[in-house]
Amino acid sequence: MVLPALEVTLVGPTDEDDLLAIIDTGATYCLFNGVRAAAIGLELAAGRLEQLSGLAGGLMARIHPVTIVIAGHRFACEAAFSEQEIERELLGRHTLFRQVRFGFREGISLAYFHPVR
Amino acid sequence: MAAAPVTIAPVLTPRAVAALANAVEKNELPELAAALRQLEPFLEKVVKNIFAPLTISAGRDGFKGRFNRLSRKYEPFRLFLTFKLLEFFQNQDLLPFYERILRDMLGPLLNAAREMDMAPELVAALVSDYLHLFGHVRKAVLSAQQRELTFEQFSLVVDCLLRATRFDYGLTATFLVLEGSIAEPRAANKVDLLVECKESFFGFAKAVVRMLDVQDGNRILDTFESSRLEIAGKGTRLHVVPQVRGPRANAPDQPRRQAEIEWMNRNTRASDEYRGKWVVVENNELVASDKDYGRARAIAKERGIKRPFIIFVPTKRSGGFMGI
Repeated sequence: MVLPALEVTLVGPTDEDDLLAIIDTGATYCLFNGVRAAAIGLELAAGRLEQLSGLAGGLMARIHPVTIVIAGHRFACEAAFSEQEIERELLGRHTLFRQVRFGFREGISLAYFHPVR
Repeated sequence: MAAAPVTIAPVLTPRAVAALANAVEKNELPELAAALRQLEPFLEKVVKNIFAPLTISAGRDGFKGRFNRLSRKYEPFRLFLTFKLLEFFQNQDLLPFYERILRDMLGPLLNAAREMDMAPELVAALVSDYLHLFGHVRKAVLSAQQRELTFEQFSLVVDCLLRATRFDYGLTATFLVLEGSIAEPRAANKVDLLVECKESFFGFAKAVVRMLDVQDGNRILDTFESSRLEIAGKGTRLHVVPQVRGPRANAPDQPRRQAEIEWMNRNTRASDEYRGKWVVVENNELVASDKDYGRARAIAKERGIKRPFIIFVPTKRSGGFMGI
């Protein structure tokens, strides 16, 4: 099964990573692995603490302002960084989905992305 | 217009027929499934004699000639197979079954297209456009089953049928390559095959619009996604170039990290070597893999990579992703 993942750049205060994130319309937050925080110039523990719940249980995450770049378009967002290691990273609704439009054509493994300006 | 069903291009590969048989069996139609399975040996010979020669001959100049000759040779076989299908399905509605099978087959074929550098964007767009066109044919068939045809109307059906065969031949050959049922063509012939598929699709679509005499035919043609994609050889690789229209003007033609994503697909699906590790890839090269994110990233930085493409490869294969 091909997951609907997008290539994104996660931009922090001092540095940035390229990564793949799954578009998850059921996720409240964009969620990135907390180990990335320090690398891009964020102090993980300084972020607002949130308890996130999922099918496999809960996890604690810290909310930080970041910039997410998708297909050359930059979006200022608040994203969650996990306090524990996670295996997949997500694009969720909070602050991002009002700036973008996503569409899916499952039968042909195609996702559409369009910025809202 | 009762002849319209034979203008569909069924893309009947042995695998498609097997999938169709399985689908009807699940719908408690065992006799129909058995009848379909009896077609498989016939189809395998059609593949061997009419499709396999397309991709194995050398010389780019000869490809179009071979395509023309073999697609004409396919015509009576396609008609026979289509009539067989219509005969088998008699009181069942073939078209929804067929449409579902085609959609179900597509995911694995697109994965193969990525691995074979066979322009998955264009293959996906062609199938999507074909199903869209198919919807128009289906509506017309349902609304005009009983109408008597004039000579002129029948001539349009014939034109449509001939063009459907050409498109069917091209798309079936593409599917057979992606399924591994016939030899993978060399890079130049991959371009030739996909170009023939695209051109024959538009020839077919125009004939359908003429046959159905629909209003706004040009509007239908203009909605096709594949009309916005051109394909060309670029070195040894295929390159799909979106033809820019209106708001697409600033859209990138492909993901910036396409090479890295392809590397990940190639190397992390087939092997467990990278499971549970952070992997850094730059172009087609593995830069680092380590269980520790910091160490993997530090190697990338030492190599002078300003913004590393760094991905965690999940520890286990899973049947499905259901959120964190």
